[in-house]
Amino acid sequence: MKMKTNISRFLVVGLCVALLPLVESCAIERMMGCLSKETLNIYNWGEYMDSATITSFEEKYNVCVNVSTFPDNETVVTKMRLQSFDVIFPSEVAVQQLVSEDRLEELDWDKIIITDKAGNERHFDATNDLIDPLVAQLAKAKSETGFDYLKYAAPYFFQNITLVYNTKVISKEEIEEQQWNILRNPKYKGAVRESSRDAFMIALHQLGYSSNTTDLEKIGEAETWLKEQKKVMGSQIAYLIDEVIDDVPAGLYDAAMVFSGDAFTIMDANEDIDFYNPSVGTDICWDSMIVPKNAQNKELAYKFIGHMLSYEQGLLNTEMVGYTSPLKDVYNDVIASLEDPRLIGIYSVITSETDEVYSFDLATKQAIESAWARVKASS
Amino acid sequence: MIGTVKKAPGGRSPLLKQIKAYIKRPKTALERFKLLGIPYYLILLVLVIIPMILILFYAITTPNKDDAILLTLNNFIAFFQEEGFVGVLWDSIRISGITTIVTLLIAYPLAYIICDYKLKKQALIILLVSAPMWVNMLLRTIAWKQILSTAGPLNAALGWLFGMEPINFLGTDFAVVLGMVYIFLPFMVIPIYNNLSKIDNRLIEASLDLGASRKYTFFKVTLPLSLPGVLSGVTMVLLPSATTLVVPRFLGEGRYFLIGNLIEQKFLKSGLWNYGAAISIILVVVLFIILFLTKKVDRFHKDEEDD
Amino acid sequence: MKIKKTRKFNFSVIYVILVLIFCYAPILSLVIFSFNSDRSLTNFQSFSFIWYDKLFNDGQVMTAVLNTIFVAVVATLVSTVLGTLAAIAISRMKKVMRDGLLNLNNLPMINPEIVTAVSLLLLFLSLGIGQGYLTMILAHITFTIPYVIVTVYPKLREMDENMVEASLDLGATPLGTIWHIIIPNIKTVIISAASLCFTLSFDDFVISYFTAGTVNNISIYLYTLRRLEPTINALSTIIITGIIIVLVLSNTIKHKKVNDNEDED
Repeated sequence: MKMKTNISRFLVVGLCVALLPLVESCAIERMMGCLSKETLNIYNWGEYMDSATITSFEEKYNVCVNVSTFPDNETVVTKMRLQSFDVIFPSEVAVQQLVSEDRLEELDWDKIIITDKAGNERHFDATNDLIDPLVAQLAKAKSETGFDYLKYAAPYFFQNITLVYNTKVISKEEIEEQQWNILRNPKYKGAVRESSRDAFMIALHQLGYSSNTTDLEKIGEAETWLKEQKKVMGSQIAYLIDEVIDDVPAGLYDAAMVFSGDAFTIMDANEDIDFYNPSVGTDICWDSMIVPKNAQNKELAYKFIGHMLSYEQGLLNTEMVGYTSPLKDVYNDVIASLEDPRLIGIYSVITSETDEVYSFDLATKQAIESAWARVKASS
Repeated sequence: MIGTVKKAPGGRSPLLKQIKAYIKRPKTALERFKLLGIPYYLILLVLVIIPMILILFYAITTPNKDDAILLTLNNFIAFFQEEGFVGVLWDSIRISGITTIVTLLIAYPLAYIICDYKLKKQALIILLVSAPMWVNMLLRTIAWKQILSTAGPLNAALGWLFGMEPINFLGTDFAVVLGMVYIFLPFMVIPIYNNLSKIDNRLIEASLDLGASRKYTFFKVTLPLSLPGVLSGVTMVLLPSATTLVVPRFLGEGRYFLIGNLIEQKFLKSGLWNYGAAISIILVVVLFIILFLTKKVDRFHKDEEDD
Repeated sequence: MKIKKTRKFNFSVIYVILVLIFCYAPILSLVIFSFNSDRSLTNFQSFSFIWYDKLFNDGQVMTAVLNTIFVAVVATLVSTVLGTLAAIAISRMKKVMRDGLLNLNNLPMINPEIVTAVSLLLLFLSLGIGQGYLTMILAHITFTIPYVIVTVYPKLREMDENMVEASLDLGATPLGTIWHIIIPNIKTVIISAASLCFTLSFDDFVISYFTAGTVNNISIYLYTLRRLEPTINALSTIIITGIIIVLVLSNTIKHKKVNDNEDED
């Protein structure tokens, strides 16, 4: 039977082709070398750090770094039950949940040594090394909810959720008037983040409530708001994750809610796009580095956190990812290097009184998740 | 070395001895063959059956505040009471049904046509059809996204040929079904081809010689004989397409919320494992019923497998 | 099945070509963009090899590629060997047992991928096995082995039973019989089963995603990328080019072999 013999040849050669990189690549050498070295397991968002920062860390301490990636915070929370990682990069949303489940190590800041802009090795000084808006938000969160964020997590990137829109299609006046409702206007093609928390955040703010409300009636109203949005918009609405970063500059959407860091990349790619922070309020958030209780290699984890909080690595990361660095020196230098006022505006992350920081409440989170499933299932 | 079956000794000896003797007795070649399957039986038991039992267990229990476990059917009831969830299930079945039919309509003529070719050419075409499977599925889906987007080549071609305004195909049934048909086409072509190519030519020639028309011969001889291939193709397309996560996400603009997404949402996002397990069980049951109904169509081959 | 039909010849050729265009349109698109100098997958800037460079030199991408290949090779070997042995065992069973086992065997195939993934997740969780290569390989074996059995088993049923009995009667051991009589007879289907396993494992996303632990494979890497990038396009281009070279070679060079194989089936 001819076909099958051909398949065998096909298989063998296909395999060889697939294995070809093995011979060529220096990655193999690296992998082989790693078998005998200490390994640090990192769990991060996809493409959320410059690979040069990893390489320099590996060289400095003669270790290997294994990077796995996740697409959302919920995956982190679930995965951590099954698997031990040394350093994880979740958002503040997940940090609070993980602390409430007692799965995070309290950070020993004495073990975290950074190399600052002047090249000195020293301890990290949260009040002076972090940017002012973040320090303010941390203090606010601590006084309001009693949650001391820095006890468990080192800030990695700082951002808010913002609206990007195509200035050729939507005028500034219109977006200022309609706020988040621009995403409920079937005249325009809009994109909402595929995330229960973020979708409910805009609905609650637009309805005039706090995005941290635990009142189930208000959440119910927000659910109705979102269902109506889905109904009114029909094929004009899309629920997207990271696709917006490529799709908005390509002109597929007129307005989209995105993280300010992504907005930076989007606006950098297309000069017709501007951003607006709705004055009814939005969420301020940050990603962070944490050490879980079941980490295998805590000493190395601290070294890694120190490495990432250093000036040079901070600069590399913010340049590669486009997100706002929480490190004051990096932040100032990046802003000084930018010329386009739009980009300076988005990189600065301007916050207002109406903005809020997420506070975790298990019952509310579950109510919102269930409501979100109903919104997505509605027609 | 061929063993002979010895009868287990003495009817009066204790049961244990009997069993021991039974285990130790020389095995026939037939029995030795059966032992070869042991590693597979273990895999089946540990990695298929036990996990399914676990799912079932999660589905019928609910975690209590004091770590006690309560038996309950609430997870199932909740699914049917939640507004829209039955609709999600129905939507998934609708999309996968359309996908299966379209795939079949493309694959059957293809398999039928190439069976007429020289063997060498047959192999070539089958390989060409299945070669895209070597490219990551996410990547192939994303490639379709580019082709279908308003700025993509399809709209450019339509605009050039017919002067049409760009249409946004993304997020439509068309795009989602197209993506699924593309991904699952090889799974339909290969079983049908394998089946058609095995059909004894003499049967068809006999039919034609006896004066039956080509059309009549096709419907009365070829088609019934190829049903097992069609059936396994349908199985391999219908079920995975009902639960795929990737195609609706990239080609559906996130508006498609299918049963796979719902299960993922309940397990990974909400952490409601018991509820997620219950929905999985409902899904499996529904799919098995559909499969059973599909098999009923294959009346012709119902008895063929019998010895 | 082969009937001469000249009437519809032209139409049928067009049909086959159309289907092939359908199959290769996205492949062509991703091949083109693997040479883009820009990251975009919609706007072609200029021709460059930067993504090939990145593919071979970026630690994360390469690790994902190597992990995928490693898992696929191990899972394919194990599944093919165990699956073939099991198919031989099943083919010698009584009807009731056989039907029961074949139905069970269908379970992972007709189980939605996501249910298989979740059920394995629950299993590993309750056994307390840390996720990693082991869990991922076990998971891949679970979903590939049924395909080996459904591919190999029908061929075994077609085999001439007398050959096996003759071999046994002539004093060959069962293992010897398998090695010298059965395996050579079903060699071709075993290879196509292995090839199927490899492709399925190579391509898997959902099950790997749930069982991977610290192991990133190509699918997980792609799924978690914030922005698409053409590095994996580059990898796919290499694979597809390899396949096309093989097809071209096998169709131009070895005309001599055609007759040997023509009547095998």
